[in-house]
Amino acid sequence: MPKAFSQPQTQSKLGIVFIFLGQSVKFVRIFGAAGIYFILKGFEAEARLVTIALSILFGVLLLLLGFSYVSFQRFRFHIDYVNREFILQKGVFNTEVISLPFSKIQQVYFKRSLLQRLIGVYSVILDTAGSSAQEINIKALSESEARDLQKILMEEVAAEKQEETTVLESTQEQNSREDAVAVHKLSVISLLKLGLTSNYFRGVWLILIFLGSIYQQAGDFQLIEESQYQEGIRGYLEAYSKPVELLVLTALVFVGVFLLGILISSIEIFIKYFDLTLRQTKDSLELEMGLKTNTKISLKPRRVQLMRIVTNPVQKRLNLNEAQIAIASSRDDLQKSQISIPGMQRMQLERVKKFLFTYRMRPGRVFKPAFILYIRLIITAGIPLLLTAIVGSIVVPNYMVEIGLVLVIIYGGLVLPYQFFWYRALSLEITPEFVIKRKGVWTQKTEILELYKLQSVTVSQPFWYKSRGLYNYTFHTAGGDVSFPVTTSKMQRYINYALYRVEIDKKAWM
Amino acid sequence: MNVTFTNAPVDLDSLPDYQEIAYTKVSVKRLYKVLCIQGFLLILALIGLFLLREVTDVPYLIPGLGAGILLLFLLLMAYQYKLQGTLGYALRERDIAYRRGFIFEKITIIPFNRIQHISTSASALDRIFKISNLNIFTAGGSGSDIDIPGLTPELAARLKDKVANHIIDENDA
Repeated sequence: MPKAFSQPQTQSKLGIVFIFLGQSVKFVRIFGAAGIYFILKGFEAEARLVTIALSILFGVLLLLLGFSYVSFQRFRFHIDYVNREFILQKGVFNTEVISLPFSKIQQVYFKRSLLQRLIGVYSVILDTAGSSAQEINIKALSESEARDLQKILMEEVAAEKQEETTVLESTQEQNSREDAVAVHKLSVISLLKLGLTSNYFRGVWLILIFLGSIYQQAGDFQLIEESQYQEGIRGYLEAYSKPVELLVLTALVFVGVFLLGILISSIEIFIKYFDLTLRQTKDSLELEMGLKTNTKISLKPRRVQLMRIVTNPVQKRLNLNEAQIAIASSRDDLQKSQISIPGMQRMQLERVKKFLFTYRMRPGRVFKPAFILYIRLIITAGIPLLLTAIVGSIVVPNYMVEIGLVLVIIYGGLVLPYQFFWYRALSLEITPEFVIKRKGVWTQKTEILELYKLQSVTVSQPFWYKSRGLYNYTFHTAGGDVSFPVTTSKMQRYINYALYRVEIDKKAWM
Repeated sequence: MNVTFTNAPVDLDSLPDYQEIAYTKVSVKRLYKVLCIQGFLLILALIGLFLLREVTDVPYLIPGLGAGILLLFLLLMAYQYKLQGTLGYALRERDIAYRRGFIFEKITIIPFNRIQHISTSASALDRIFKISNLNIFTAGGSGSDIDIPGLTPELAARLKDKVANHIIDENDA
């Protein structure tokens, strides 16, 4: 007797109904307005028009039915027991054949929409580690078929996983010699320190958004007073038209906003990270935090794809580092699957690193971007200033010299040095087991990924870098990309090494 | 599992170099398909221009727009022509590389043991031109997936089987 699902088969016969209704709903959504218009107007129109319209509608329905039938016939799936994969063929105009190896299936589950409930069919969804768009959805199976398919697939997947677990357990054993202990606890004082030294721009930004919305609200309510208001501003500007006063006033406003920014940042941090504790158990890190909502996260070393350590000079002094950890997710939005643990001391950080990473860190080869990157940076940073100058020369041609002077000072005193330090801070280190990227002038970020967790590598080169032999490199992981711009072709040997490192590896990357 | 982890230094020069891969070009039918679409769009644009001529009488508008549209399409076609030459893929023992781009040359290399799943797809137009695409998905987001266009359906299916078998081999080993 042939094994179940080994021959390409269609969905449950009810699938035709499901596809047809689904398509009809779509059709109504698009042309519904026109239909309603016709129904309202139609009674006044001639009988001949009504019959034409009705026959068109009938024709469309027939076409939809035909489409649904072909779509149903073309949608065929089966299990290839020899190659150990699930195969799906589908599409009427655009055809697609998908094969999904058992070993890559993460989950098999059911789902039912309202329409599916009405018709009495089930969706069986095969979830992989890729983004949500990549999962396979078989939308119309009868209950018994759905259960059979799920059972068989789960058994096959489990058999596949069994082979891997032996490898996995040994990794975990190696990592968990230490027993469950609290690694890190954030006291109220550290929270305060954190708040005072964190990035205020976020706070300032929140204020600006807040003010913006208030201004908009006020504008909505007081349309009549607007002219008066503008009058007020003009008067205000005239009253403070002396440059010194204006400068002092602006400075005061800036300082005020800045202080408020600090306050808001502190409060936000306090609420978010209140009573943060990090405990290490045998095979995971348990994180708990939050004043309003208590968040609990369990971090398994295997799931960790990318780690980022964020600090700034002041926090460095106080020995505060934030660890951001990206785990493998089935979402495209990688930002959301990121976990932040702020206020860690270097020692604790080392401990967490030691726990989360399979390998020890050893020194490697450090790469710097080519100098041309600095040139590119200062040119792009100069463009807004240049635009300001152009706008200024049109709006207030009389003050051209002053404006030009201010812009030159900004450019020479701020932009050039900042971009230079930014350029100098940027580096990429490739060690035997890791890729480490460092960047940032004030907020210093270190991104660490284990080579064997790489998914793929992209090397790109615009044609104007060809003669210089420069390339941009991107390392893709399941927790986000790490890219490094304009580097010499010498890195290529290390790309070869990275690929080699991934390809010889037998360990599960998640 | 410690077998794979040894501290013996790896001689970087002895590793296979991805820069030395010979790429197989994709079928020129892909270019024909794209040119066909562009030709169709050009005809549409010209019809639009013809209709516009009936309703406006701004001097030089029609010749100017016409020349602009023609130039734009010529550039687009030239770009596609140049692009065609750069599209290529290469299968190695343990990974697959895909090269594309003429202004920005981009090479993505996916090790077989990181492939999540593979599919072949063909749009209605693809089927008229008898070509299809090979899509390879990883867990690394859209940036690390590759879509190789312009393969004959047989070749796409064969490549798919070959890569799929590699995935299986990796897991059995």
